[in-house]
Order: sequence, then C-alpha cells, then structure tokens
Amino acid sequence: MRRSRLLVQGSTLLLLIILWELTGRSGLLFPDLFPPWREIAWELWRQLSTDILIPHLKASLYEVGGGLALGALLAIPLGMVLGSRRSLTQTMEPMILYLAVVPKIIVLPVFILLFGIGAESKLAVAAAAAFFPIALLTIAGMREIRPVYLDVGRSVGATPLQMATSIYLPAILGYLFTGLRIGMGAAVTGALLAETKIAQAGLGFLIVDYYTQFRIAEMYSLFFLIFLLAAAANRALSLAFSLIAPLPRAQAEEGFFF
Amino acid sequence: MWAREKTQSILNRSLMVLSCLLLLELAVSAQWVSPLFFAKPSAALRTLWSQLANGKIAGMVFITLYEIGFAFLLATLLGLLLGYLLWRYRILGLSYELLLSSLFASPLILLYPLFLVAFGRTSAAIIALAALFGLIPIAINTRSALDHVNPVLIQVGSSMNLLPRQIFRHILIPAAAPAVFSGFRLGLTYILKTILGMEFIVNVGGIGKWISEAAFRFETEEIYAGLFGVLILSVAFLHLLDRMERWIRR
Amino acid sequence: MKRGFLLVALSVWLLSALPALASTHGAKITIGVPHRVLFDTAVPIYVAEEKGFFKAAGLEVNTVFVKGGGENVQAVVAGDVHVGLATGLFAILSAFSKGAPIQVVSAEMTGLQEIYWYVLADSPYRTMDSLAGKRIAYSNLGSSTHMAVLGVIELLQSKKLKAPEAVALGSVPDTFTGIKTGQAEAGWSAPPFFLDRIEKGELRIAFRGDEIPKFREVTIRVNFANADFLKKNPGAARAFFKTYQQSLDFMFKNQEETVKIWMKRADLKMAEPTVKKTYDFYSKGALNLRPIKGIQVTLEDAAKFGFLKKALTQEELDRLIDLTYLP
Repeated sequence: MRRSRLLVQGSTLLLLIILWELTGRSGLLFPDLFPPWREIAWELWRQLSTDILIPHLKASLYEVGGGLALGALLAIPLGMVLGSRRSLTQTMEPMILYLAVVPKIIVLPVFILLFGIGAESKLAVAAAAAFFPIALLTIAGMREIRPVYLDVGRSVGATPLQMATSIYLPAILGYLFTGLRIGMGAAVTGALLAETKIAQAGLGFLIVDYYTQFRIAEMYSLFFLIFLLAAAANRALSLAFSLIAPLPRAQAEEGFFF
Repeated sequence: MWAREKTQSILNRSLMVLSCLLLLELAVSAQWVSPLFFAKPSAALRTLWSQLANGKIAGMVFITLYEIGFAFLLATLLGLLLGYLLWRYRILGLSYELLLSSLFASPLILLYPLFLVAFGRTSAAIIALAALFGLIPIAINTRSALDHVNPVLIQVGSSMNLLPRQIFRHILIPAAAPAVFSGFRLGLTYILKTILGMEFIVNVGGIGKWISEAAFRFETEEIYAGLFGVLILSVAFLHLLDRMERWIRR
Repeated sequence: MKRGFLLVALSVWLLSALPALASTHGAKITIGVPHRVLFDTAVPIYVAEEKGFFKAAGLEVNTVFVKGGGENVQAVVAGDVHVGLATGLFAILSAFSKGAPIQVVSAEMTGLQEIYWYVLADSPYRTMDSLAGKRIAYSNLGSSTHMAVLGVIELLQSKKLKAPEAVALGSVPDTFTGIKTGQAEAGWSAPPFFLDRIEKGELRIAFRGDEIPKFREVTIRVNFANADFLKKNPGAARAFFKTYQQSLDFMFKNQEETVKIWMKRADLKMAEPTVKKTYDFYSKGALNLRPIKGIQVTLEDAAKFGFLKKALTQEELDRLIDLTYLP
C-alpha cells in the first residue's frame, strides 16, 4: 500500500515537471509563469551559496520570533484568565473569534504610523496574527481541564498564582503548544505578507523585489525556500512539543490564521 | 436559564466594547494620543456613515462581496470535485493527503505575485488566488465527510436495490452534508480573509483597497472607518454562517 | 613625579576627547530615496557619494531606498528618515494637514517634461489626440502621473475629443506588463527606462509630459524633512542641501562622467549613448531647488482628490514651506 502511494506521488511529480516544461516552452498559457526547472534550480543554488539571503533571513526571523513571543506573552495569560470561568469565556471568546476573521495585515497602516517602516511594524503584525490561535487554543485547553485537578488544587489551599503555574499550566500544555505552533505559522504569514507591502528587508520584501524586476525564476526559488523552512519549522515544533506533552488532535483550521 | 446566560454575556460584551470605545474617544480628544495614529471612534463612525450615505461604500462592499462570491463558487465546484475524486479513488486520496494538509497550513497567500503576473493587477487575480486556496479545505473536508459515512447506511441502500446514483443522492449526500458544510464554512472564511488581505496589499477591489488608499492619504479616520467596516462584515458573516449551519443540521 | 603624572593624565584625557570631536564633526543624516534608478531621484545622491561631496562636507549620509513617495512620507513622519527626496506634494500636504511634523525644504522637479507615455510600435497611436477614448496608464492614486493623465483628459475634452480613461497600473515595470497584456493603450515611463526599446523600435513615444500646459510651471515633486530633525540639526540639513546643489551642478556640467556613475550605481544594462539621451528630457532649470511654483494649482488638485479637506491658509503654507536650509 505504501509503495503504491509513493508511486502515485512520484509519477505526479514527474508529470508536473513535464507539463511545466511543456507549458513554459510552448508559451500557450501564461508564458512568463513557467521558467525552466533548471533555471529555478540554478537560482536556488545561487541564493544559497552566496550570502545575499542573510540580511533578509535575519530580518524575517527577528520579526517572526519577536512577534510570536509578544503574541504568546499577551495571549497565554489572557487565555488562561478567560478560560478559567465559564462566564468570562462566554462573554469574551466570541469577540476573539470575530477579530480572528479579520486579516491582521489590514492593521498594518496603524502599526506603520506608530512604529515606522522598519522591522518593528512587521513584528507588530506578526504578534497580532499569532495572538489569536494562541489565545483561542489556550481557552480551549482551559475548558478541557478535568474538574478533579481543580478540586485538588483548591483543597490544598493553592493561591491563584500557584493554581496557574502548578495546576492549570501543566494541564493545558498540549493545547498551548499547538497554539504556539499554529501561532508561528500565523506569525510567518503575517510578517512576510506585511514585508511585501512596506519594508526594507526580509524574505517577503525580497519576493516583491524580484517580482518588480520580473525575476520570476528567482521568485520561485525563494518560494521554495520559504515553504520548506516554514514546513520544517512546523514539523520541528511538532516533534519537540510532542516530546514534552501529548498534543490534541490536529486542527483542521491551521492555515486559517493570519 | 441558558437563554438568560446568553443574553447576559451579550450585554457584558457590549458594555465592554462600549467602554473601550469611550476610553479611546476620550484619549484622542484630550490629546493623550496623537490624532495621527488613532481616530476618535465617533469620527470614524461618522466617516463610515457619510460614506454609506453617499453610496461609495455600497460600491466597495459590492465589489468585495462579488469577489468573495465568485471565488467561493469556483472553490466549491473545484473543491467538491476534488474531494469526491480523492474519496472515490482511495489511492489518490492517501497519496495526496499529506500534501493537501501541509499546503493548507503554509503561507500560500505569499504566492500572490504569481497571480499578478498571470492576471495583472485586477480582481481576477484576487479571485483566482482565493478560489485556489479556498478549495483546499473544501476538498479535504468533502473527502473526510464521504469517508466517514457509516458503511451500514450504504449497505442498507444496496440491500434495497438502489442504483449507485440513487445511493449517492439519497444516502451519501445527506449523511455527508454536515461535515461537507464545515468545509464550506472553513473555505468561505478563508476566502473572506484572503480577499480582504489581498485587496489591501494589491490596492485593487473594494474595502481592502479603501483602507490601503486611506493609509496612503494619511486619512486616519478613514482607516479606522474601514477597519470598523471590515469588523462589521466579519461579524455579519459569522452570524450568517452560524444560521446556515443550524439550518443544515435540522 | 607628580607633575609628570598630571601631564600623562591630561594627555590621556585630551586624546580620549578627540574621537568625540571627530564624531560630532561627521553629522549624520538619513535620506529617503524613492527610486534606485530615476535620473532626478537617485543620480544626485550617487554623484555626491562617488565624488566625495558628502565626505568633504563632513556628512555621514545613510541612504534608505523606499518604494515610492507614499512610503517616503510615512518614513519621514515616523522619523525613520530625516530628509525625503523627490516626493509628490499630495501625500505631504495630506500628512501635514493632519498635524504630521514635516516641512517642505526645497523643490525637486518643476514641470513634467521628463515623463513620457509610450505605445506599442504596432499600435496606431502617434499623438496625444489619437488616444482620445483610449486607456492611458498612471502609477497610483495622487501621483504626478495621475495628475498628468487627468490633465490630458481635461485637455482632450476641451478640444471636444472623447475623454480617455485613466488606469492605475503601478510602477514602470508593472505598467509595461499591463500594456503588453492589453490593460491600457499608453503606458508611462521616465528616462532611462525603455529608451533602448524606443531606439530599437519596439515602443514609440505618443506624447510627453510637457505637452500638458497646465503643469509646465508647477512644482511636481519636492524634498521634505522631519520638522523635529530640522530643529535639532539645522547644520546637517544645510550641509546636505549644499552638497545636493553641488551634485546638480556637476550633473549638468559633466554629462559623460555623470552617465558613467549612473550606469555603475544603478546597474544599467543599456548602451552609454542611449543613457545619455536622458539629457534630452531634462533642463537644468526644471531641477532648481527654489522656488516652489504653482502651489495654488497643487492645493486645488489636492482638495479635488481628497488629499486635503480644505485648502491651506497662507499661515499654514508658511509653516509648511521652509526654504531657509538651501544655499
């Protein structure tokens, strides 16, 4: 069964490459969109072997990392507070859901006014994007806690802080981690998308730079790199987290947050 | 008891939102924060209202809704078809499931320059992009929905000597409908986000374009009016989806 | 013994003060340049850097390339950039009217003589009039090209011809894609872009910016600065504009060398004689740093297109425009 799966995947890939080359050469459909694979591979090699990517990679990493950290810093305590009482959850969770549907990139103008055109405004967008999945999943985790744990905590006279750190936090770890992982995806999308609009450096900035100069093959190679990095980071987080705590079932809505 | 709880939380929510807005109003009026960065909620609302009155918003909202609708139509057709094929031919479904789910979890929206090259800086590019991404959750959910239909139901159908076509129409579809609808819901929400985001970035279309241009003109009040409008749109949207879901599940 | 020790201490103290002296001598300024290639926008900076004008004036200039005037205004308002170059007045007026701390410090480009609209060689359009009822491209809302196309519409309407349609296609390469894919009949450009394609006969110039009488004596782009920076570092601002004027003088006196510098810094892939044709599109007078001409026309247009709620008073104008930093 496994072999036939690989066979299908392999032959699809082959078919894709062949169709690509044919479409590109014949110029029938969107001729500019299909540069030869060899050119894409060459550009990929060129970008990896020189240090042109380094400043952009640094900028994007700073924005994504900082954004994720800031978003988590705000979302986790808030999620824990909101998830602790049913009345709070009922009042506030719908608001968070309404706001989650808004693409955070739209708030970029306000961040630019506040923080300028440097990396900080992009970090703010990433933080705003990451906030929502982390908050929502933290709340979900809080609601799933078995009441017996809470009773035990209360019966030994734990203070709210002790309850938070020794009872709640370990119990919601699985949900929290999933929230962080999805939040990272949201931060990546948010930061890089914002870079395409107004920025001085970064992978998203580079995409648009290539686009305006019509360097399509380089754009493709950059896409490949970005998606590979994002997938690898996602997988790495998954593995790392699952070592510490069991994770809830995979969420279908993963790519939804940005 | 349940109903009263719900009304109570709506009241609490509204109270919270109102007090936040009042605080912001005060802050801008007293110049605690610069009017360049924050708009008075009253001014933003007034701008929103006047734009509504002179019909400009109607045009913008129409364009945005049209783009969403068109993209959703395409995504549904293609997504249903793809989902069905992935279910019908098990080997395809198994081979591509990892690809599809990882595609959905990745920042696909960054591929928009490709669509600009293909379609130019037009609504068509935005619609194509949104449709392509929206079809993924629909396909995934359709396949999963069909997969999870209780085989007993199908057996009952065959034992009644129904044609495959009839089994499909009278057993599979109703049984899979709720899960398929979840896919629609997810796809539509995803399409809404993508279209609004793209309108903003590419400066094309309706509401997103409005916000982008307001930012360019340093019209802080218009920016906030636009943001408020987007919020209203998403609230209305989610409510509509909720209503439809309840209707389907009946 | 004690005196020796005192001497050593004194000299150590003096020596340590020297670097401080050196750094205050090198005034720092960050400039925002909205284009890497355009002649009037980027070349003055390239020339000043290559010929050492900045260094001679004791200036440490940090050049930030932004994607267009709108971004420049946002950067200057936020204080990320101290002096923004070559930016259209509309966004500046808009920000200023909202209380942004910015001031216009010099004119940059007066008139539209450098901009031209091209058509595909195999199309039938040869003049502005022939584009009646057709689609003419501009870059984006409120830009000088936008104003120009609206001026063309007015002009053709006054000649009782069918009004053309204004289409926003974005930057020069974006517009070119748009023309090739049939989104408009005429696209905008500025030297050196497509001078080679025009020479080769792929494209043809349909009309030029100076064929629109309305804008011949109107200052289209200005150099502006963050007001707080000007207050704190008037010396740096003055030094910058002194070297800027120096660059402009050099550009018109030494055309061959300027072209060489331009081609090197902007990585131009055209033949030198073709690039030199740029000078056919620019007169030195158009780049005069003062005066700011036609401000009333600009104010009217700004109000018409929603950049200003109402025209600025003379008092506000006097606050906005400050030409005292010019040599």
